Amino acid sequence: MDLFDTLPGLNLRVSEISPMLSSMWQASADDKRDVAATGRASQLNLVVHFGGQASAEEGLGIFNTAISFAQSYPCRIIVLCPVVSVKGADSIDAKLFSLCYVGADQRALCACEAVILGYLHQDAVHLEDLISLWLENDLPVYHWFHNVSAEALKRDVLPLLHGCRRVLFDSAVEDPALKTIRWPEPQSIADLTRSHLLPVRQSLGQFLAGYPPWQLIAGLKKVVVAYAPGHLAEAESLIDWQQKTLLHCGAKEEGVAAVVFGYEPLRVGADTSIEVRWVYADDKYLSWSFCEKRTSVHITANLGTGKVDLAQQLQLLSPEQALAEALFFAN
Amino acid sequence: MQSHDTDRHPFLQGLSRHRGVPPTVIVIFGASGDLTARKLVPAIYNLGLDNLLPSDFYLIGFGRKAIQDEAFREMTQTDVQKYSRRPLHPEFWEHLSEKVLYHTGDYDQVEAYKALGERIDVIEKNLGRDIQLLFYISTPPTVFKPILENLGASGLAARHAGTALASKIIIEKPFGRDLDSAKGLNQVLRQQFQESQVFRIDHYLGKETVQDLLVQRFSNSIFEPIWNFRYVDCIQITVAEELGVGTRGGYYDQSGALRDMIQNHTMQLLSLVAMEPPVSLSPEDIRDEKVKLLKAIQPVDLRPEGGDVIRAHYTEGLVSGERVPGYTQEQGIPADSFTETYAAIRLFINNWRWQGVPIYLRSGKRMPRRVSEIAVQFKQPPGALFSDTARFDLAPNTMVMQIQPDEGTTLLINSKIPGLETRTQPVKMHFRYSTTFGSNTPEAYERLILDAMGGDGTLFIRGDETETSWGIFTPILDFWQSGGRRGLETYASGSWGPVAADRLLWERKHEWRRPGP
Ligand SMILES: NC(=O)c1ccc[n+]([C@@H]2O[C@H](COP(=O)([O-])OP(=O)(O)OC[C@H]3O[C@@H](n4cnc5c(N)ncnc54)[C@H](OP(=O)(O)O)[C@@H]3O)[C@@H](O)[C@H]2O)c1
Repeated sequence: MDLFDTLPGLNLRVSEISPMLSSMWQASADDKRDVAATGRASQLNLVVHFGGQASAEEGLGIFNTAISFAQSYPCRIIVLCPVVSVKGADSIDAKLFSLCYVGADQRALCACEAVILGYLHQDAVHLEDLISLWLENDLPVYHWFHNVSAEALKRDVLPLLHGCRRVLFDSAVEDPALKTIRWPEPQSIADLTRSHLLPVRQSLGQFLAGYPPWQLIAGLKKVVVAYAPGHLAEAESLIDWQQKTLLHCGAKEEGVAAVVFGYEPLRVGADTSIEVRWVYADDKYLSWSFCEKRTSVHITANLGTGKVDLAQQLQLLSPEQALAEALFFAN
Repeated sequence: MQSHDTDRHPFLQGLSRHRGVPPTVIVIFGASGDLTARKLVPAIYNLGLDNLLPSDFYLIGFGRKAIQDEAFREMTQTDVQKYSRRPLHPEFWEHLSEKVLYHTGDYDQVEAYKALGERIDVIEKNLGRDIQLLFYISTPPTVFKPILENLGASGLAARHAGTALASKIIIEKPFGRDLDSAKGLNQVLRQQFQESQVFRIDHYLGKETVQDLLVQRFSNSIFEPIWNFRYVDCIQITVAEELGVGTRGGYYDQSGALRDMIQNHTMQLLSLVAMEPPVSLSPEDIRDEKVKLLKAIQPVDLRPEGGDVIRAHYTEGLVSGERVPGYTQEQGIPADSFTETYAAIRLFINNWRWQGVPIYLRSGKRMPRRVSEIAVQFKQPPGALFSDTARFDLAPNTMVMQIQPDEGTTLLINSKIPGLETRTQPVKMHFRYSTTFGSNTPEAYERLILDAMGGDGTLFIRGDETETSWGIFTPILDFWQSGGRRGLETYASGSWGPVAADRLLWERKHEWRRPGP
């Protein structure tokens, strides 16, 4: 079973999608009111692109994240799945998913729909026009890639990105070659892994902001992020962030551009997920460690004004929170 | 839209204009055709259901085929069952269909018209009072002329002339195929009818949103002050069809997008959205303003490079996921045809209000979806506060009036995304007719037939409007004709048109809209 088959939804023909979208929330067959329009609050569009390599399990996870996100930020979701053969009567297979969601309080009542398309590689050129049928025009369009090879992205998807507000991917799963792509609007690229780490950056940032920048960089020799299995992309993202931030602290001017930045696996048996260590030429140091299981952070440091030993609670963002963060607040 | 009541019969004063229509016989020429079946008969039936037909009402179909009254009644009953917005109400239909007749005759034989006159005399005699005639010409344009001439020769056109019951005539587009033929048609019409008796129909004008344009513009104080070159960046009018030429290829190939759509529908929309406020809501005052607007349109620049017009026809592609053939592979289309199925035009209006504001019009077949809309895009405010585009996603305020399929208006404004930080994105404020007022609103043809019966020409096109509009487009058509295939672009079926059309907008940093749901 390929990914298209795994995703939930009602199989229908492409031409049936629009009529179905406008009639699906009617109370009865005689109810001619356009209920979808009354209740429709969609104020943005989310287009999810799966690559040929995306597994059914990953795909389902991402789909569920998108649906959870839509419960807080009503949006039109379109999911694009490459398939090796189409099964329906058209050149493109289609499904429509809809969900009515009732939250804990009366106000949290919402409905969301997702249009899912299964297309052959050679029909990718038609997708831009086809999805314009369901995108809420004038409103921001966000694209989310999952496991799309750099080659497929360049070939099929770049034309779709013109004018879009944000392009999302997760460096934890993507083809490293994505980094070499010349994006039409580079400022619109956002990495989900980075957004997911927002609480980590906040914890470290708040602590370090208690020291003057010059004090942080004076004598700094090495910055290391150690990571548990499965957290490499997060380590890379954290290194990248620290490198950029330290430059802002004046590392270049102070002649300490020679600080070594690196990451390494955590020792076997460690119960932490990520650790950040700063090594100085003198007796200053920073050790920040996060245990995902216990949702706790432990900071020990001496950054020139005496020893500190701190414990904090910290929870990484859920996938849908990370999605919202990446879409709206990433830059 | 007429408002003065004092010239009416005392028993009609206080009643809506639409509820005092005089006794009428509607004669449809070409009554065995497609338009009669899909639009006219259902419209008349629904007017009847709403008690809007006069108590003495007759429908007479006219055509060459020998059809008996009873057979025509059956045909019209099927039309109602198939195409009416409301189901057939058997008792009401029985009552109405008694007054449905058919008259067989050749369009170019005056005897047929005289015989028709005799049947009408009988109806009048039985009624014991005068009755007005409303002719509806629903034939291909090739027979407009003989019909008009024979209405004159038979005396039908002149019945009750000079009274409120004077004969009236509705004609369907095309009102000519260029300036000369439009003038010719007007001349034939004027030989038999006064302009006040002529109702040139453009069904777009019967749509609620189109009528609402005047209300929105002139009854709200917030729009009119900004409806000008100081605040408006551009106006885009789109009339897109999903269908290709289908079985009407032969007809379409003689016509093309400019004649079939732009010259009439889009220009009607443009004149209503851009005209000056009329001094009253009377038909003549409104139509005077429309003509003034059309007269202010600058001649278009025809140069293939950097000019104001683009034409194209569709090639094979995917529409709603289905593979469809290209234009020249359609039935009845010659392989070397250069008829455009898409046209895009940039216009400028040379008056105080619209100086320098580009107006973009486009219409095409085999586009991704059927949609007609007017979008008025406003200029961006000075960017001092929100100029950081990485943090602030701002769109130009745009007011979109959607004419079909879902009639309504949307206003695009910028708003803060909920959260601690100030981030922005555009959001829409929607008003939809179907959700606010229910979806079972009358069809355009209902309103238009009723207005014509009542003699109100507000929502019809006046003769000088057609000529002024053809005056704008005839040079383009001549230029295309002389150029053959030169400059003819192509676009894949299911796309929003040729890439070349983007150039018209890029030059001023605009982009075509993608009309969504
Ligand atoms: N169909 C639409 O949706 C539509 C929309 C907008 C405007 N219009 C306009 O409305 C008018 C009628 O449209 P329609 O689609 O109903 O046309 P149609 O079906 O092609 O023709 C209507 C009738 O006219 C008669 N006729 C056809 N060809 C003729 C010819 N060459 N010479 C003499 N009579 C002929 C036929 O009746 P008999 O053989 O019984 O005489 C036919 O049933 C046209 O002017 C068209 O441009 C149509």
